[in-house]
Amino acid sequence: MSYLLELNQITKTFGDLVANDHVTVKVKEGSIHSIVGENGAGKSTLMNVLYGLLKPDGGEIILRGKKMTFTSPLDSIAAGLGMIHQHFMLIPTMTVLDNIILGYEIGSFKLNRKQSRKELEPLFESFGLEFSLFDTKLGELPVGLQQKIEIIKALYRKASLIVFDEPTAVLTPQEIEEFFILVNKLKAEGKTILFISHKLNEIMEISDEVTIMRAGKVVDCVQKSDVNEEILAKLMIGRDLVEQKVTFRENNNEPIIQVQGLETEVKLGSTPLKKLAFEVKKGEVFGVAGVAGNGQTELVNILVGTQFPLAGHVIINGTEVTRVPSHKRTQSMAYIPEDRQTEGLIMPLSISKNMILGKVDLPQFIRHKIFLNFKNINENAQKAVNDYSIKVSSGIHDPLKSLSGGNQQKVIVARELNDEPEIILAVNPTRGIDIGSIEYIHSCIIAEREKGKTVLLISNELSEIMALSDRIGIIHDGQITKILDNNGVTKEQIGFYMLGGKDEEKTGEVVAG
Amino acid sequence: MKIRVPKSAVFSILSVLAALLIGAVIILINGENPVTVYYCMIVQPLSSVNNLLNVFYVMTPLMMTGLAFIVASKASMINLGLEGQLLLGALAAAWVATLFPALPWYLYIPLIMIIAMVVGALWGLLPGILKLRFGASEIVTTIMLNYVAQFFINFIISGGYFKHPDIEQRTPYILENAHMASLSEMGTAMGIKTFRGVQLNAMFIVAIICVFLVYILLEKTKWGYKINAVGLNLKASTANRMSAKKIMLCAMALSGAIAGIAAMGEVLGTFNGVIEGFSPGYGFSGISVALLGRSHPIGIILGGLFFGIMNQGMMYINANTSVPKDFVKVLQTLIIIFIVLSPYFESKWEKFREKSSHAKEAKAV
Repeated sequence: MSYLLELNQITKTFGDLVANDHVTVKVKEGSIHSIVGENGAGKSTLMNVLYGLLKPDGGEIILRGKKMTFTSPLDSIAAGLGMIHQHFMLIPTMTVLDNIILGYEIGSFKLNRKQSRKELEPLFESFGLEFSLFDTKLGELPVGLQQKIEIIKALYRKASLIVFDEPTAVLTPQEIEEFFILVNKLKAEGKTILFISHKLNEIMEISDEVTIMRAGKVVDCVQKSDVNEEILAKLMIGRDLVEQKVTFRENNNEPIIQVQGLETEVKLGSTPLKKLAFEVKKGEVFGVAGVAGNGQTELVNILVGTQFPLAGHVIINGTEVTRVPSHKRTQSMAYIPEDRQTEGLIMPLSISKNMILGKVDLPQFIRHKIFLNFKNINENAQKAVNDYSIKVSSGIHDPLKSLSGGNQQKVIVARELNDEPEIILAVNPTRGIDIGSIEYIHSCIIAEREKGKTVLLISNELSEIMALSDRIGIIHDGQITKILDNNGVTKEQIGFYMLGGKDEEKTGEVVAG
Repeated sequence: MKIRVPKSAVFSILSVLAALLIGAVIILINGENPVTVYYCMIVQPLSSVNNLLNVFYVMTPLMMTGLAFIVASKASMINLGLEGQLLLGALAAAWVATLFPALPWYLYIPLIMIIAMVVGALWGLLPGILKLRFGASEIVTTIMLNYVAQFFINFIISGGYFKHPDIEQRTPYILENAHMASLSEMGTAMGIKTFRGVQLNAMFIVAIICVFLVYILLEKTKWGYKINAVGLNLKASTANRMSAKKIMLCAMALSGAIAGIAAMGEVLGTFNGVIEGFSPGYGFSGISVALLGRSHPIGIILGGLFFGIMNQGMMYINANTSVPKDFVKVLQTLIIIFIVLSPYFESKWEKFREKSSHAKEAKAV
């Protein structure tokens, strides 16, 4: 088999940062080749070089034996490259058909949609899509389907090499399954796939070959059959991972968070809660597992007081707070939000100023009632940077956006755990960050549990829920459908409920609860 | 000692230079010598102490409205209604200044200012409420409310509800004890002729104090922290126990209050009341000053100074050259266009610097 694509000794630097240091990747024709690495390992830079968005400082791109110079994505598309970005390059207000033909319209003056449509019909058929979709507004489709449209768009442009950049990050587990089937189908049709990811289980599931990157360099290139997840993880982060798992302990404490009969209104694009109820006992880690979009967002908004339910109660520490807006809540509950950049941090502000977000009224941060106490604010930030080993480039006055995702998340964790809150609400606390930081944040949550603090963990990562929780509640379609002790339950059991399974359908099996 | 000039200031200066360059071409087309025109525009307003003092007088309302604009914009509210807030503040002041002949000036003038601030604040609050309660864009409502304010004043004066008995298109003269004396008047009272023709009054000092108070508010207090936080990331601020709506409304009210007293130097000083159309668009020039000053209080002083010089320069251009004085307005517009373009050049410059530092390293290796 020959190489379809060779990236030879690609080097790209940004100032002092060497994002790609003589990176060489060779992709065989008709194979699924994965590039794996932590955030910041240089994967995205490499892909942007390949796609013509960045000009490399050195090295060459060889496609089908020919040296190529891509100065813009137009060149790379013309050469047969299709790039599926993590954030789709589609226009939600336009129809599916218009999205696909955009830039490749037929007709010299009058747009010949009919012709394009005819050409696209076989493609749609092979993807098992209804033709009626052509006229649907793209924004009305679920994310998984939008991704398919993005793939069809690439194929319509005659792509023979398709690059997927973190394609599963936006998909639900079911959609991920479908996606893998699709990728294998593309491979069977002779397409070559370049798959960029940091999720090892996915890499192991679909790759033929894996190139591992770390800190801008290629560490190794291996056959999938020669390795397993642990070996890959070790290559990727450069050391062994510490297995973290709490052992279940019996807890007969009083409930400290009581959620009763929550209901929210039916709104487009959100899942209404339907008499959602659960209790979290003092000193336990309660995990809420579920496929994204089953009411988690609404539940979190109600818990932090940015949204009020139609009916139901939230009682925290014996006080009803259901209709207390967030700015009137006391500081007793720490909140680690799902989307750190929009909800947890103010990116242009400095690290030290982000460390007092939501705490600026606390006496230690002010002087004479109204003035900011910069001495204490800076000391507080410096302590957090040291204690949580937050990697900063020059210091606590750096703007927050200069930090990597993992370190940004550490800033939130440091801020929220700083003043010993009794209750911690963590929502997807490790989404999109590198393994090292995930490990660290998990250890923080476990440490809080050991201190007797209560943690409510809402996460889409089942492995995270299973590693950290004492009890697991499963959320499905706006309800907590099942609560299990994390004492010997399996992924499959939880997965069954996550997908909407009910006890009576599952005869003959006893589930703890 | 090496003084570090912030990058944003450098690009403001470059924007001005670029505008002057294009302005020079326009002057040449007009058949005049750019050097002469720019001499009239920039050097003559600074050619004597009295001229400079008059520049201070002219820049005062611009500093105030510029300041008002940045207070709102820090909370992500675009207050284009400064003109209306200024006008209504002025009208309220002109009215209150006719009421209490017995009050001593040191109580009366502050009282007038407080009332002007309250009126400006309420007029600023209105679009804030319309936005937060009904979702109406403040960019539209503030502009529209300018017209409401302007025509309301015309109605009040022309309708005879509050009008000078003998002179058309103006309110009655304010009381003696509400008057802010100009340097020229003070000089005359003391029998010195040095400051003849200088219209500068105490409002300039009030404006400078306001600049520093706003600087302290925005940079050093918890309220300023909250205003900045809400303006930069509304969602994160709400999620972190801040009452974003309240903070945005406060910022709008404060912005309106500052705009409300922006023209006190004119109302209580030069004109002794409100004259229809007395503001040559101070509210809008303030936005330009805020942009030129890069939304920084200190930048406001410098931006205001430059606009003040240019506005004074109009007079000299008119007197000494054949270029129409509106040329200055063209120039001011060009400056703003370049300021708005400058982020593009800033990012280019960053990239260039990155490359050159990289090249240096390569050489060193």
